[in-house]
Amino acid sequence: MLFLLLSLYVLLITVLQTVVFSRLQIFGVSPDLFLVSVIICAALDKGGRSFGFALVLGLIKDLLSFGSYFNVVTKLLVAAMINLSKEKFVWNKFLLCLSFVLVISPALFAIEGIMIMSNRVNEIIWAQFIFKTFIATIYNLLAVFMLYPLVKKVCHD
Amino acid sequence: MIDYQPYRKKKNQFGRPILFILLAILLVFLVSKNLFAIRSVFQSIIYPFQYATVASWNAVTGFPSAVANIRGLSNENTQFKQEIKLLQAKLLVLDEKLAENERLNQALRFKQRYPRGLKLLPAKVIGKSPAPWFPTLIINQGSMAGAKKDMPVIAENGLVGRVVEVSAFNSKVMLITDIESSVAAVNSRSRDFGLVSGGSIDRIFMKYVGAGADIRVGDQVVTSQISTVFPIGIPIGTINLANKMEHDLFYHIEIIPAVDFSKLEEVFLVL
Repeated sequence: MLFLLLSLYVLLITVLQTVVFSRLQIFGVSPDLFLVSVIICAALDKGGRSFGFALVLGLIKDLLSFGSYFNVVTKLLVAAMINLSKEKFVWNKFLLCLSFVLVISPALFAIEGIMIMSNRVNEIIWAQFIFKTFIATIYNLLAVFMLYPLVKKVCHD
Repeated sequence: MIDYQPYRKKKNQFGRPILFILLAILLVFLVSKNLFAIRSVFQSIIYPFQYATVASWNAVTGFPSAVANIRGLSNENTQFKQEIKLLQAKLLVLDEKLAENERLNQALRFKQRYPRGLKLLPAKVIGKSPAPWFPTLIINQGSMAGAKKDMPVIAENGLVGRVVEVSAFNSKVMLITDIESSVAAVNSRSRDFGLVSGGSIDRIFMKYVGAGADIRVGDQVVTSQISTVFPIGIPIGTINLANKMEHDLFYHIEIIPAVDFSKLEEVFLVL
């Protein structure tokens, strides 16, 4: 049952990410449903299920991408980081998810962008870069509202 | 009585992270090397769902016209629009062909390379890659329809990119805005050569244009005859910025792409 739920969820967010949100981009940015799912799952998880979830979603994102294949590693690191630090916070779980997205999403987005562009582009337009990171963060925060009940069903219940 | 419980717990704590690290390394290797054609297999699995979602999306966004009971007109309109796009795309090639015919040497090369002219295969954009820094499109034509790796992809306004991965029913297209992309290009007015490569976000640059070249803002840049991948004369974009410092060997040229990648719905593969 869990496997079926997980498969359906993965299929749903893959289609949403590649088809629906690719048509709802704001300034060329769409939310990272894979990252948001991993963050929510890791924040809700009690039995280490989030690592498997991170592994699967990282793999799917790598399969869908071209040229960057470090999503498995980054998603696992995010899951590990949240699992290590979440006990220190006693907030409402939903607020905890929002907080983690607020911190991790721009950090990861910016690190990934800077790593790629500093190697291959002579000049980075910082204003555009920061704006894009800001939009991505807002979009990811909105995605938490959509994905939280679904991930709760898959990862927590 | 010896209690082994703490030992077992410690073993589990180390076992799981090591297992995940090993799995992560294995998966990164598997995906980057595309072993067992894993990427194509995955694309083929999700393709029906993507296609169905695109169809539903189009149905939903086209709903107002259906309500107004003009389905027939709407279909006809869509068909005409598609035909216009196809003709416009062909016209782009034909216009440049005409110009090339005036320059006999280039026309000769063109004929040698494309003795039967260009054949275009229409394709719909069904998805986009989720990686924000590597913009790729997923189109609904794969190896079954004759798509092959490195095939050029154009739209009615100009060059889109090239095919980088082919599955049975769909293909992945690297856009010219991708940092990894590079296209041999020429200024259509002054005929100065350069290399157009992707930059950050939606900018593209023309590199290696000598400081002595005749470059003006507003000049059109098209694909060059020296390209082994792209047919000649496909519009790439318009020069938006061109400057050089006193001792620079090359111009710094920024180009606005001819194609609006955020609104791409239909493209053409050059067979």
